[in-house]
Amino acid sequence: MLVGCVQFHCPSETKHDGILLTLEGVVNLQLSSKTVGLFDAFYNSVKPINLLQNSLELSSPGKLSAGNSEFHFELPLVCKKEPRKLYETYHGVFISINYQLKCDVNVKRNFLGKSLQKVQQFCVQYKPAPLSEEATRAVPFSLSMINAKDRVTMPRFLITGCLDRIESCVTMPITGSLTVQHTEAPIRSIEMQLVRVETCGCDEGYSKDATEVQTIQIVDGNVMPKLEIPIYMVLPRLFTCPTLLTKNFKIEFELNLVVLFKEDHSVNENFKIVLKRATGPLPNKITTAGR
Amino acid sequence: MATLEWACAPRCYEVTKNHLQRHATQEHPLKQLAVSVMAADNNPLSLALALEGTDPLSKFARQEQELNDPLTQMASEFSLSSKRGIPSKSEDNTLNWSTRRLGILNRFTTNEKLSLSTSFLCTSSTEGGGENFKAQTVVADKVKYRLEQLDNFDDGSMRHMMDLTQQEYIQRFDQLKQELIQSWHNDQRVKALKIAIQCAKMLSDTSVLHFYPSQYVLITDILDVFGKLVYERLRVKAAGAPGASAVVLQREQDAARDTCQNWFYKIASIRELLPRLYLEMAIFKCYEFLTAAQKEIKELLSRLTGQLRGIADPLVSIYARCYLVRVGVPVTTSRTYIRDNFTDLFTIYPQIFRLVARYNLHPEIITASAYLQLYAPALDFMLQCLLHQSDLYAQEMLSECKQLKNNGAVLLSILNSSKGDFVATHAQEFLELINQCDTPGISKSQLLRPLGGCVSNCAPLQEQRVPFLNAAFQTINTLTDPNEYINCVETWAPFVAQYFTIHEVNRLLGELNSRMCLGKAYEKHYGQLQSIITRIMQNYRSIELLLIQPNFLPYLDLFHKESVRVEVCKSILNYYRQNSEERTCDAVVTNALMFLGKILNDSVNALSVEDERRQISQLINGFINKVHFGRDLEKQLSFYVEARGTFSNLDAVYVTLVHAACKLTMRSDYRQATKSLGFVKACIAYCFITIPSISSVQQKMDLYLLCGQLALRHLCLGQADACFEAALQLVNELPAASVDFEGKPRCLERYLVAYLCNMLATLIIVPDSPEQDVLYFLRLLLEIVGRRSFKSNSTAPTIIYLHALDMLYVQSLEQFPYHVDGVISNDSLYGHDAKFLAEVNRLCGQVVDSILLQLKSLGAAQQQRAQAQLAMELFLRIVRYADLEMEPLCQLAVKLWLLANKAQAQLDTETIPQTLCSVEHFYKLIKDSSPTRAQTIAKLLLRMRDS
Repeated sequence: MLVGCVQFHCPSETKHDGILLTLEGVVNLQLSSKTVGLFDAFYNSVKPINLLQNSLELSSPGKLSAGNSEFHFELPLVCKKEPRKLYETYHGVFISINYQLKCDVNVKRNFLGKSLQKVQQFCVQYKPAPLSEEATRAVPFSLSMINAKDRVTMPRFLITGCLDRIESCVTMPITGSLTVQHTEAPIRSIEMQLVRVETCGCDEGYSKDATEVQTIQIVDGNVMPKLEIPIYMVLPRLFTCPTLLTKNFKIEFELNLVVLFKEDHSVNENFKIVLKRATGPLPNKITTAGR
Repeated sequence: MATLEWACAPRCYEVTKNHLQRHATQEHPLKQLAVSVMAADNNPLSLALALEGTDPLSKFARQEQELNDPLTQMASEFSLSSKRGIPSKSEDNTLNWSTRRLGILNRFTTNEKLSLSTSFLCTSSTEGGGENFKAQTVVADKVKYRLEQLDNFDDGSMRHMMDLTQQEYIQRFDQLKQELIQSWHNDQRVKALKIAIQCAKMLSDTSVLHFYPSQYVLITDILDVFGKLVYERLRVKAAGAPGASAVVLQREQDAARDTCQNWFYKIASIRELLPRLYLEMAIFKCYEFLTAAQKEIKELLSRLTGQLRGIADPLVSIYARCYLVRVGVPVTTSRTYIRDNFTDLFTIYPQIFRLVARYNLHPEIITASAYLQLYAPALDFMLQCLLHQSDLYAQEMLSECKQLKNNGAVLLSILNSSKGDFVATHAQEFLELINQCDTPGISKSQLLRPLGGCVSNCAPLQEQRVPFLNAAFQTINTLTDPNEYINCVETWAPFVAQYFTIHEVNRLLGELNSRMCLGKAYEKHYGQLQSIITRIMQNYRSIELLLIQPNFLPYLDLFHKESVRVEVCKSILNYYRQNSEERTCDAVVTNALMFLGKILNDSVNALSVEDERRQISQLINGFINKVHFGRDLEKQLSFYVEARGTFSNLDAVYVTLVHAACKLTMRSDYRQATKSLGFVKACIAYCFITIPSISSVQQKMDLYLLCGQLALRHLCLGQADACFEAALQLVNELPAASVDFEGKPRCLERYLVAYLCNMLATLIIVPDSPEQDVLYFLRLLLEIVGRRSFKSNSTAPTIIYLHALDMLYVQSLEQFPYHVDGVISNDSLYGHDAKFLAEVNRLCGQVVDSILLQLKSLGAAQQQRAQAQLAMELFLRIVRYADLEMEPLCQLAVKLWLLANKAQAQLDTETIPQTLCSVEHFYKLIKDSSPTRAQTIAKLLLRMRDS
């Protein structure tokens, strides 16, 4: 249920031809030019999925008195059509899920006069659900030259560590630790990369794209061996959402651990992670939303 | 010219003194200093307050105390500054970083070229114009504008400024700081953040190692500014508008929370590790808007501690940790995170020495010891924070330090930052650690120095001291480099002097002598040698004991440079003056002091400044006054003789010696009556010989008079005559014009008048010598005054003549008003003989003639006022002294009266009535005893009225 209030402030009494409130929720999908080719990308743009389309007339044509006038409203947030479900707000590269509230005031001023319009976006978040028991297990990993592609030129090294869990909450940082056990070549930097994998699927083909969300350095320079270094990454609020798997599209997240050596070698280790919403948003988010 | 007939009238009345009423008082009427200081507290309007709490006199007094030696001066300055610190913050500021800032900036400097990369400095001026305009646009535009700005920054590629000198580099940072503050206030917070990030990024640049600590200080200054700006804004936001309702306030607080959260999110997404951590630390204080729980703050701190492990360069890492401690200390009292930091530090500690080993091979980059010193400020600060006001971790740190290999650097910091009593209780342990320590780049002397300083301030237990000292010096003596050796001993000297007997001190001095003589090592270490001797004197109880040590004077011989030697001698004598017993009679001490004084005396030459001379004289005088052989007066005199021989360059010392000898004669007086006369003669002879060596005529004259009086007192008439004659002869040498006295020209005439009056008073009782004429000295005096050229229109000669008249009148009396015991003065000598009286009268006539002459010349020079005053004086004397039955005298008196009355307008209004009063008073006095004289006076009064 969306609850709110529209405020008007008129310097003088104003005539209008009705005030209309519209609610919209759309998933925009776009095929990446890389996977399906430029041509296809241009033509086969996937139809946006409409999640929400609702409207409400706040006032029939009439007059607004001078000064402040308020219209309180309540709108149900229910998806009546196919997915029968609302997704969390998300802004990605190829997929974005947007919700917006539009308020139109039809004023007949003259021929060309347009009606007044105000658009306000709003966020949708799932109700928090606890993480599954199993998913809170730590995930150990180890990196050595075996992971590298060009093993011949690769220096010998061993890095071990663990991620505290594979299933994580979007509002909580990803934590873990790693230890450089030994290395032949000096390390320049170790970085943690958060990657989103967006899949737009339709019958004739689908595109799957991994793009970087953010990279965070956790080791700078040739760090002391056998020293446990914590992994700590705060997830960006705007660019993440709980992992979403639907018929038409998927939003998944992965972590890359990148080790860069001084001699321009690099080694990658990939982790698939599942994001959920386990804790609610900060309480103040509610009060400040829409302000 | 015809001399005036004069006849002295006999005194026919009793001389009575009008004693003033006496009051008992508690305080010295002239003592003001102490009083005014008290008044500063009581009276808010007092002068003292107007002069910022200290009145100038007491300030001088305090300064004088402080001037005594530089160390107490420093101490008092320190106490002053610490007092000033108290009102602003009741907590002690040992943990305050700002106190260390400047020290670091001054210590770590470089001549190398620095480089700086930023995109802000150059673009700022061009953007400046448009910004102000846009800053006022509406909110919706602001977002857009910020995005634009971001684009702008991305376009403007990073500019590298190479080849900056240190000064330019610092300037650039100042500029950056201003830029940051400005852009913050211009609502460009993103730009401010970017500046902060770029600054933090520069902290990873260790290309110019020498400069890194200073670089750190500069950059963290900027970060601090940034942190403060963020914090202040949030605080203002959270506080809301004054008088807002609770609901509104709650909403405001939530908004602030939200903004705060956004800051942390923003910073968490910084890509590089170092800037991310530094910025989070910079705004660490803002966490208080998110959580109030201490536990969470601690968790945050330990999380940051963990993340800091990711920084590989130990130098960068340790300074980052230092910054963490810096932001942590004001927020929480917990020390666990500091402890954790040290655990991590000790883990990466070997890494440092891997680098040290590398720099050992490349000393052209930086030497190992210099490299280790870069760590010192951060280590010291962190340790101090850890150990501040609690010994909880000290023991732990020490034992962990023991486990470490190459523990020198940590040990040094522990010694520097822990409290004295902790070091004192573990002194032996520290010593063992130092002995075992062989850290490259840190020498033992570097470690021994702070240990010495610590135990000097706070000594180990009594029973441990001796073995500890022995062990310590065993180590110290193994140091081969004289520089290291002397630097160590410097801090250990106060410890030895304070807690051990004179034998240890002597041994230490002996050892220093032998060590420093090797290869003329002393030449390079005068400063340290000087400071050692100062510290020993400061801390050792008895300076006399020190002076008689066999190794003390040889130690002085180490100072071959004249100026240093003189300095040292001065400070020793100064200490002696302040700290020694009231009196000394030890021949060895005196000899030693004589030796010191001789050095000082020899240093004085024609080129020495007046102040130097005075200072040295004061020191030597202090010492001479303290030498006291009790009953053995001959020995004392022979000491003075020796002193005269030794201190031949200093007049002031001679003056003191003469005074001392004079004092001696008075002491001899009643004790050994039989031997005394010869001894007194010897003393006076000593004075008589000494005085001519003094250059100042005035002082000579004074001293001659004093000696003459003394000789008279001791019945040595011949010597007294010689003294008086010498004194009178000197009057001729007295410069006629004004002389420079302490920078101000001063006329000597007043002095001369006072001096001659004193002389005249003495001459009254001096009996005439059979070899000379009657009243030889008076004649001599008059002759000298007559010959001397005074300033034109000076009243001085007249005044002297008037007093001479007084003296002559006394000579005419049957019995003098005072005598010296045993001296037969002229009254008994001549027995009021008529011939003598005639001679006196003749002299009186001469004197009066001279006075009249002077009066005439004053009149000619239009000095009516002076003339009238003097005429009045003479008039009074004639009335009192002269036989008025003689007509010429009576006429003279009337003439003088008229002369004075002519200038009545210029005289004080009271003068003439008062003179009349006194004449009447005199008339009443003699009315009963001598009616005839009374009648003459009455007649005179009548004549005065008639005319």
